Amino acid sequence: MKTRTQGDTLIITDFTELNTTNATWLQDLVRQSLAHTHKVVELDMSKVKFLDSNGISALISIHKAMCKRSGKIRLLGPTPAVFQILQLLSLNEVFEIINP
Amino acid sequence: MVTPRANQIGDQFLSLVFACDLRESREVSRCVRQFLAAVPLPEDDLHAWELMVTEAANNAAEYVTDTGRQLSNRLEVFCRDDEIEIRLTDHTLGFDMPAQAELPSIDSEKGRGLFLIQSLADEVEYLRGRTENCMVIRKKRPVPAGSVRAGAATVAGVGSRFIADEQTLQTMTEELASCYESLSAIFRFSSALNRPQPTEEFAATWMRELLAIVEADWYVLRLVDPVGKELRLSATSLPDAFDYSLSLLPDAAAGSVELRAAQSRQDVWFDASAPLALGDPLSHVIRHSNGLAHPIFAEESLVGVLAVGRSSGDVPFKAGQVNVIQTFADFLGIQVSNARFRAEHLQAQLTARELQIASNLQRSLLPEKLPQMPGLGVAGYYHSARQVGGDFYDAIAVDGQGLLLVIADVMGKGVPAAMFATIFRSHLHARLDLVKRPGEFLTWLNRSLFSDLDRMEMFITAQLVYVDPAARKFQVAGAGHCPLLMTSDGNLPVEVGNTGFPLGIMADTRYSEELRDLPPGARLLLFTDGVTDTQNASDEMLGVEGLKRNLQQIVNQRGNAAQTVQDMAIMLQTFQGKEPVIDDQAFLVLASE
Repeated sequence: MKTRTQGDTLIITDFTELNTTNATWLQDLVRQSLAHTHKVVELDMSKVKFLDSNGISALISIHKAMCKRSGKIRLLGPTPAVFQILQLLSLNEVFEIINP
Repeated sequence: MVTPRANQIGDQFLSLVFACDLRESREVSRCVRQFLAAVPLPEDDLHAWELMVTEAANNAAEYVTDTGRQLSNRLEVFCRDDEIEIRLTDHTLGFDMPAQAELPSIDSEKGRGLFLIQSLADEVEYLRGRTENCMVIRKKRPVPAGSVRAGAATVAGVGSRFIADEQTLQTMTEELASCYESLSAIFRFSSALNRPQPTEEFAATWMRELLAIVEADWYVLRLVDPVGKELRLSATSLPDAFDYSLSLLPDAAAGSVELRAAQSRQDVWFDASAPLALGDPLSHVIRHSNGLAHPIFAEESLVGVLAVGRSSGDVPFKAGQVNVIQTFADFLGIQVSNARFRAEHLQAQLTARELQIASNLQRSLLPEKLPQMPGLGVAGYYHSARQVGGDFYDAIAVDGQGLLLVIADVMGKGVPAAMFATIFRSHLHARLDLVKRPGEFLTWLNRSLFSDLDRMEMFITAQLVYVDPAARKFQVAGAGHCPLLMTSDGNLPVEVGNTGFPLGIMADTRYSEELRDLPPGARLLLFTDGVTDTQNASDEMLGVEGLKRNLQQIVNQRGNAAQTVQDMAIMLQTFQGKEPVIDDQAFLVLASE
């Protein structure tokens, strides 16, 4: 996983799965990288082929943290498999989803 | 990372054994995906299975017990022509799987795994055992477009494949054979359910089958008695000494594993770590045993408890075997409940038929037409309660000169009461020579009927009134019956008639009679206690005083006997409103006309 900042957005890229093995890692990474200026955490989901309930838990945890600072989480270009899961769990309305 | 140990038979079967560790879950789901990709399955299905296996394995690793952590989890994949089935055996404490898991609130970070599995699968079962549980997930295979020859292709494929692992094949064959045995037994069980058989015999036969299927050594089946107070032995493989009952009353000591299952409404397990209590009667014979006591329900009501066990204390039932025990017991619950329903239905039919007979008998006793004398009219009323009683009235003209009025109430309901009313009537008509001395008539009736009434522990209250129209006098004698009411112009009705013992109480009772004048315009009301016992919506009884007041008002209308009866009937119906009639109501009116 890589992070970079663009304006008020913390962008996380370069991961292909979000599951039990890296969910906690993602949460730690966001916690450590988040500056006061960040209002948005944007995850590049375009290469993510697998998202399980632990990955979902991490996304919700970040979403809640961002809401507290009047910010938000944004998922960029989720693959069809991932989008289907978000839809199934009615989370496509909770997270901002951008399809390029 | 530890790689799961895999056994594979072509594209039909895969078995994975892996450590109970969250890191293993993802590796296992990748293996499954790889195996299913060769089946082949479309991408959507592969992804669904990958996710379902991950969630199930995560669950098994997350909730594992300390002892369970030392054991390996097992995952089996069965590829059938029309569906894929995956079984994951875990070592958690298990959970009660809801029919459909609810989606947690948006803020909740947990609780979506089961929801995902149930949403993506066609069928999910969770079989609970003592030391292991098994989640069974099934999903239909998509039908490839235009592939009518898929079956033939599969057969050809299997034939051409080299099966390397003979031991795995052997295991699989045994498993299939055991499944077949279980299934065929369950099918036989299901078809037998449709046949009316004595429950005990049925239960004993099928419990023997159950022992063989689940490799158990003993069972005890107890059913709740009809009044729900105790568990009674229905069938057992243990010695006759086990023919005792267990009280279900709340204060009963719950030392028994069967009672604990009944009271907690849950399976109760016993083994070396949780042995049967010393106070448990089962422990006297099977102290070192492992098994479970399973409460049996039919529509939420407890119908019994099935205890099944193995004498060797160290080989617990597998989750699948526990499921078979529970299924058998639950089927049996339906059977017991149906048998009881059939018996109750039959009893209800018999009761209804009996009431019909009694009702017909009762109506046949009442005179079709009452005799009328010059200057005197007679009319009667009878209203039957839901359960027919033995009320009876009659009016008999004697030699064209006198009139005998009779009212009687046989204690009891149904056919016996109606039968005694018939006997009473036939005796009455046999000795009309005694009508002018009603006291003596009652004495004779009592003597004649005593032995039959005494044997049946029944009795009859009766009142006889002989009216002499020419002399304007009447004689009254009573046997435990309420006094009649006599009205005369301008006065409240008065009670007339002494009451001795009812007929059938004392063999040698002598009844006396009372001679009274019948004033001009007088009316006599003979009635049964069903009239004064009539209740209104506030549970108040009409009572003798209420009857007197109403009778006075009715009499003031100066109607004839028939009109008086009609007014009385309306008064009673108005008083009771919509309340059900508790007892038969009968009365007889004599009116000077």
